[in-house]
Formats: sequence, structure tokens, C-alpha cells
Amino acid sequence: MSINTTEKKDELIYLVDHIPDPILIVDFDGITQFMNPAAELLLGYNKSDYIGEQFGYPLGANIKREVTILRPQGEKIVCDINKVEIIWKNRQSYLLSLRDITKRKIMYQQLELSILELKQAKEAAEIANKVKSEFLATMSHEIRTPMNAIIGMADILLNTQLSKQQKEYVDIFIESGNLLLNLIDDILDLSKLEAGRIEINATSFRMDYLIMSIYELMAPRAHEKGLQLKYLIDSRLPETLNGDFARLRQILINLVGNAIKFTAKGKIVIECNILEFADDKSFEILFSVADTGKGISENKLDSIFNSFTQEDSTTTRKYGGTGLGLTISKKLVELFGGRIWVESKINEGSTFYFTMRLNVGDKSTEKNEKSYTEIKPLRILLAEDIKTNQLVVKQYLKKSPVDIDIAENGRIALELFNTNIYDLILMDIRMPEVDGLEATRQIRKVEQKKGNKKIPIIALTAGVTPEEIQVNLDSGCSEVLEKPVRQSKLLEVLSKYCANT
Amino acid sequence: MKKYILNLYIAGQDSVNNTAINNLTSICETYLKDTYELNIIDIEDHPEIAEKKKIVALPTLIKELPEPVQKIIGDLSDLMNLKLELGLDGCQ
Repeated sequence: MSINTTEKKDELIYLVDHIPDPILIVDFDGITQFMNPAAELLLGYNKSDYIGEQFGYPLGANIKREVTILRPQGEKIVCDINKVEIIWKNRQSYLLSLRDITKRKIMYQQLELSILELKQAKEAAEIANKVKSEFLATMSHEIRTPMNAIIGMADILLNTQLSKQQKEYVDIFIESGNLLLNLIDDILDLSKLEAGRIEINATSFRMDYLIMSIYELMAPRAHEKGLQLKYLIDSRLPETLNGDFARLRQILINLVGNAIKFTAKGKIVIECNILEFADDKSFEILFSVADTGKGISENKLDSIFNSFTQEDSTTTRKYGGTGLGLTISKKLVELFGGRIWVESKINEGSTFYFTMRLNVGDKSTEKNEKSYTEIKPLRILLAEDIKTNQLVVKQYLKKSPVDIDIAENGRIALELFNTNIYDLILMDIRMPEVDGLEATRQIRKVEQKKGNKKIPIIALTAGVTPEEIQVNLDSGCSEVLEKPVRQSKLLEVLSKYCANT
Repeated sequence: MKKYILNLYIAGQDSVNNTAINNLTSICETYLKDTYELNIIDIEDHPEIAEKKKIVALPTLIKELPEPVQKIIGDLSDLMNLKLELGLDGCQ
């Protein structure tokens, strides 16, 4: 029995001497009674220096508290200290255990600092990105406004008496203007895609109408080069589908445009096939655009979707274009969760494929494809401060039975609205004094007060971000027309609202 | 004559030391009103004091008066036990 007790005591002493955690025992007055070697090491004192001195103790029991420990040479370490009540040599005492947390504390402080720095860097990047996006949106607007006048005037010039040579010059005018607009659109699109600012706008549409509209748009260009343009649509597709019609159209136009551009003879075939029936409601569709062009060499197949890359640098000179079309298409396809790739054989042709998941559409919201070109007599108020833009609209409507009153700003527009009866208002947004948004709000207010029917207000704006379009619609505009306005688009909108009145 | 003399030794101005200061001043103001003297000593300004007073862990509160002298370690964020240690447990 006594051997056992001695043995046990030796074991405990051994344990306490070798445990890496510093242990102190203090009495109820805080006077040090015992410290193990780990405590000596941590505190930097010899046992003999410290036994009998008042160390003190923390409040409460079994609660970790952080303290700074001063070591003899002025060195500081951070410890957690914990206290439990024990009986030591027949007296009530406290057992204090310490744990060095200096490293953890420093790491934690560094971590906090890093988090702060990351936060600041992230904020700075977000601000820079926002500034960039705003700059691009502004630039796009600033370039579009004068382009509106240039293309509009060129359109008008084309309809006057011109010599053959003059007509050629004006054609170049218009063509270059349109190219410039496309370039601005591409750069704006790409920057928005890269900033993740493009939203998916799903609407119901008919695939056959979509493909036919692309055919109608692109066929003249193909025929001009002596190429055939064909399309094949999977007959199993439902009549109406739901998806981002405008973006799908953009991708297809891009691929078909490229195919025409890079094909000298032969044909271009657009195909649209169901790849997989996911369920009753959605389909994975495979689109392909095949040409019989010069083909793409194997080492260029991967890089062709990168920005500003065409087959080689001489291609740009020969064929023109921004080199952004495929990059934008790729980013759009990926945004919709699809894949895009190309298969090609030199001198035989290339086929671009992409997949897109589309839902079964709702027939009632299907886009009305009826064309509006006939206009009945109308009285229109045009609010527009820039003379050339006034002239453009007037010329566009010259052959239509339309009376136009002009207001140079929103205030005059409001006065004319209050004293005359109009069928429709064309409202420029950026005007001096009272801008188009404010004028629209005022007009809506007057109507509400009088209990009148809402007059169609068509906003004309070069601000083309979805946010800006939404601001226009929020102010009470019926529709937003993007500047530069084309004659056909203007007539279409007029007849649409005139049919409604 | 002040009934209570309390010296709080701190090591700089981090959150632990500030918590100790706040806890101590609030309990003094609540329970000891005009009967206490409170000194806050930053040992970073007076390193010799730590040695003289045999202070190893900071913050440390030393209750010099009334006797017996007591040392309490840590941020003092246990007001009930702090009252108990200072003999204020009867106070409301």
C-alpha cells in the first residue's frame, strides 16, 4: 500500500515536472506556493525567486483570460490564464495554468490587418471598375450623340439629288458611321460582360421567326458575294421558346456575319437542333453555322475566341472588323451556361457550334412580329434641343402624314402639351432647363390630375445601359428608342402607338 | 482619509487593458463614490515599478487599502467576483 502511494506520488511529480503547460499554485492571498519547470521557463524566474511572493489570481473559475506576462529582460508574452480551486497541503488554494498565445495573437493581428488590406483593395478595385464602366457608358453616349447627327444627315443626303460619285461618297459615309457604331457597341458590350453587368432578359419568341429574321438581314450580304445562305430548324422544337432572344440573335448574327466575311464561294448553313430533352420544360439546343470558307489553321483554333485575335494580323486589314465579335459571343454563351467551339479544315471550311438551354415559351407573351409601316395622320410633339437632330426626325417623317411641333426643351414641351392636343410625344432626354425625364413626369402628373388618357411618350436617348433605359421607363415613358434612331424604327414605333390610340 | 486605495497596473492601451480600466472605474463610481483613490499606472512608462511591486502578469489590480493587500489579474470582467474580492458583496 505504502509502496503504491510512493509510486503514485513519484508518477505525479514526474507528470507535473514534464507537462509542457506552465502551472502555478497560489493560496487564497495570491502567494505563490508552487510552480512547475514549465512555469519557470515561461515566466523566466527561478522557483526560489518567486515562491512566497504575491502573484495574485484572476477572477472567477474556469474562465480563460488574456494577460501580458513580463519576463525579466523586459520581454513580453501574451498568455491565457485559467484558475481552478484545489486543496494544496491541506489548504484551499488556486491552481493557475498558463498558455502562451503570443504567436496566435500575432497571427491573428496580422490576419486582421490582411483582411483590412484586402477589404480596402477590394473597395478600391470596385470603385475603379465602377468608374471605368461609367466612363465607358458616358463615352458611348458622347460618341453616339454626334454619330446620330452624322448618320442621320447622311441618310437625308442620300435621298436628295446626287451625282453617281456623290452617292458613292455618301454610301461610304453611312457605312463607316455604322461600322463605328458597331465598334462602340462591341467595346461597350465586352466591358459590361467583363464587369459582369449584363443581365439575362428572357422573353418568349419563335425560333423560326428568329432564324428567318437573321436570314432576311444577312442574305443580301451573302448574295452580294455570290454565296448561298440556308437554314435548317429542328421540327421537334416547340412553336414558342423562352430565353434571351436579343442576345441569341446577337450571337447568331455575329457568327453568320463572320462566315460571310471569310467565305469567298460556296454556302453558309445555319442549323438549330435539339441536343437533349432535359425535361418537359426545357431543351439543350445546338446551334451551328457552317461555311465553305478558307478554314482556320489548327494552331489558331483555341485563340480565335480571344479578344482582338483574328486568324492572323493581316486578316484584320483584309476583312475589317473589331476582332471582338467571337470574344463577346463566347462570353455570352458562357453567361447562358452553354459552350462554344469551332471545327475547321483548311480550304474546306469552318463550323462554329454553340449550345444553349431554352425553356418552352408562353404563347400569350410571344413577340408580335407584325410589321408597322403604314401611318395614319398624326400630330406629334418633338422635344429636342439639337437642331440637326430636329432636322433628322423631320426628314424621316417628311413623306408621312405627320404634323410636327418642336420644343427646344422640356419646359416648352410642357407648355405646348398643355395648350395643344397631340397623338404622341418624341422626347429627347438630355435637354437644357427641364430635361426629358422631368418633362415626362410633369406630363404624367397633368394627365392624372385631369383624368386624361396617357399619351404615348417615346424617349430618345443615347444612354443605352439597361439602368438608364429603366430610369426612362420609370419616369413614365412608354418606350425608349436608342439614338441614333433609324427611319424604319421610328416609323415602326409611330404606327405601333398610332394603332393603339 | 480614503478608505480604498486601488492601483491598476496596465501594459499599454489594448482592448484587454482598456476593459480592465472601464470595469474598475465603473465599480468604483457605483459602490465607492468618494471613498476611494484609483491610480492607473502604465508599466510601459514605468518599467521599474513592475519589478518593485513584483508584478508579472498584466493587467494587475493591487488593492493596497484596506488590508490585506490583494492582487487580481486580468481584465476584471466579472463584476460579481470583483465585488466579492473587494469586499463589496453586501453593497447594492
